[in-house]
Amino acid sequence: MTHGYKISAALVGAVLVAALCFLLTYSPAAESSDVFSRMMLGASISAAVVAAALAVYGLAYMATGKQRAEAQERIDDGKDGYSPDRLDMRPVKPAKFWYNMALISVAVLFFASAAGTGMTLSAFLEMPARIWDFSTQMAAGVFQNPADEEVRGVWDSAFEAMLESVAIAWVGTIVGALFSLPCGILAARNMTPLAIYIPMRFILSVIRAVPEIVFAVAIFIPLMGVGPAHMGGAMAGAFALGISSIGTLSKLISEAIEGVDAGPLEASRASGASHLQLIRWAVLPQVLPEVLAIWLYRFEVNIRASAILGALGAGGIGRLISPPNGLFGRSPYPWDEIGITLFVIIAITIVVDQISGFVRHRVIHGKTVRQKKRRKNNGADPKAAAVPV
Amino acid sequence: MTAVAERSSSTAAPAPVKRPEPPKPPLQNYLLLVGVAAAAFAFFWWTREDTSVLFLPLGFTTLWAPQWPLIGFLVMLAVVAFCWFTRTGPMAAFGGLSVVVLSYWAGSNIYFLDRVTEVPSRLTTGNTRDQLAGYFSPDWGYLLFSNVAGTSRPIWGEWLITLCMAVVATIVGCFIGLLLAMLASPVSSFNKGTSQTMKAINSVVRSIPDVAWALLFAAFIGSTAYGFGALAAVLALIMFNIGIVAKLLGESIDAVNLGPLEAADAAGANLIQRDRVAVLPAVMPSFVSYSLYVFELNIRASAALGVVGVAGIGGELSRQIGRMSQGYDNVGAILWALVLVVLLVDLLSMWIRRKLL
Repeated sequence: MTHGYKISAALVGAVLVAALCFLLTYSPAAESSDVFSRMMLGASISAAVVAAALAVYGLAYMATGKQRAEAQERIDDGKDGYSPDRLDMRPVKPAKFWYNMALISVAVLFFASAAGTGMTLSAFLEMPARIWDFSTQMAAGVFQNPADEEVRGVWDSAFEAMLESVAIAWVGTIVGALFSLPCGILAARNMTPLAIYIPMRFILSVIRAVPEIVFAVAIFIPLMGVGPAHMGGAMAGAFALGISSIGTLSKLISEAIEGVDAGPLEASRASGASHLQLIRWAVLPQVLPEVLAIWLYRFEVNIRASAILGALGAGGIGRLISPPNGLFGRSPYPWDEIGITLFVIIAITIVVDQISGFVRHRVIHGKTVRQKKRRKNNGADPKAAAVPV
Repeated sequence: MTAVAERSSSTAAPAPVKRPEPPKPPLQNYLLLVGVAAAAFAFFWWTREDTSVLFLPLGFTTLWAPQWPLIGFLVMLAVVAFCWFTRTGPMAAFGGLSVVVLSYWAGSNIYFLDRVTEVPSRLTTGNTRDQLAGYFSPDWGYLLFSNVAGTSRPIWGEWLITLCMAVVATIVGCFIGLLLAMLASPVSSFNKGTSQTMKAINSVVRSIPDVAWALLFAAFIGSTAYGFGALAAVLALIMFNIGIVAKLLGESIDAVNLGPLEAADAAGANLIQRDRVAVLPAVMPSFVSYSLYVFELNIRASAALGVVGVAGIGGELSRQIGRMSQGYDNVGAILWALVLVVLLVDLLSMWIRRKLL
């Protein structure tokens, strides 16, 4: 297919899409749902713009047809004899027609979706002033005198809720980790027969597909209770996080096990190891650092996820901030308290991230990196060089 | 190796050969670990809320200790002793000990045992059983044909809003995230100061949870927490995506092959040209796959964000949860449909990934 045909086919396609989307704004579906009609209108307008641009491009392409034919002739002439043009030419760029078409359709999809959400973009105009106003109030809240009784109460409750979130994430990670190692081994192709491997993979992908709020709302909040920690909300969150981490953790662990070096496996088989001994002496020593790193990574993810479960009534920091009873539920927003709470969230999350990042680095790379660093700048203060990378 | 050594020794030399053993770990480090365990025991004793106590009658006197802290302390000592007899290094032993201490702390903080022992009684009494039964017999007619309460908007339109929000937030957020990741990585950034600053900004953006972003933007837009439009949710999802993409992509930019960078430098490219021709093509496959992953995350997150009152299916979900006893089968329908949608998006993104990469 030459370029001209491609352009005309794309033009026809764009016109058809625009017409179809425009017709769909009159369909019964669009009459009942304004979202759908807005989306279709956005899609038809953007497809029409694309069609117009393609038409202009096609006209230009047609107008330059003669020149292109001449150039092609010059190139073809050079095939037999000497032609300086052909040698001096830069290599012809490969056509990226389908790539460009994909980008254009993503753009159309983007504008259709943006129209569909019905965002009122005029709110952007007032936002900077409000952001400045509220941010200064939040900063003022953080820099209040912490000795004050009321302010200390705010700091205390924020710390308590955030530590509860960390506890939820930790219990969730422990629950996930306990189940994920056996599941990971059972879902690794080089460790299990196909009859176990396939159902295990299927179960894990089902678990991965279920969002954690589904586990929390549908199963664990009824079982464990809802609300603050002593009412059982925190446990519901922890178990929801734990069950939903099993899917991801087991997948990552099984991939780590599949990538294991085959030498030790062969050696332990040769010396007559049973399957369990094989796992204990050949597989675990190789994958354990990676598995620990995966668990710690999931712990970081779980801290963030516990916030959203808290908004549903499953304990932690989300309960403190989310509307019905939380800080954002009061009618003039208490910005100083919100500022303190956000500060505590950011600080504890970053501290936990740093600690777990350090442990992960240490587990995977061992002490060697630090020693190397110390040796490199041997003149400097050894304490300063011992800071982890 | 040890087995081979033993066998050869038993055939050749009758004298028993000692197996090579790892060296004994230093004792004072282990004593320190026992001290840490004792400190943790004291801390848990001090902060306990459960007052049950164990007695140990000794004839002349009776020792007593709080029940759960004592059990925790014994577990800690068992871990340390296990590490000592398997000759584990003190750092690894400390790791094992701190896992036990943290688990005890976390478990007591969220009332682990109370809740777990209460589950059977909850299953048999109260309305838990109705609730679970409602979730597992969803009302599909509600999902397909009815409207959002009090309006003429159909429920399936809310799903459409959720998808639209996810698309918009993914596209915008991934591009901003790409930009920030470029700025934050020392490989592709202007100078060390820029990259460090951007890294700090990224970690702050990443550490605020998406619920908090949604609530903040709702306030910044100037609406109450309930009934604001999709803009707050989209902005919150954008921030959420920026954090994820900047983190993941930053790691792949750090690990990029330095050969093309050198070639671009040698050919006289400036920084932006170098990033364009040497860094961007190298990270493009991972960028695409992270974008698809982020799209999937966005669907789940936007369903959850509705809980704080934004548009989309999440808002309807929280409304149905709010009318608890009447809404069980409706909530069940929404949740099952959510699983279905996430599964479909997963399949779609797997297909796109296979086509592209």
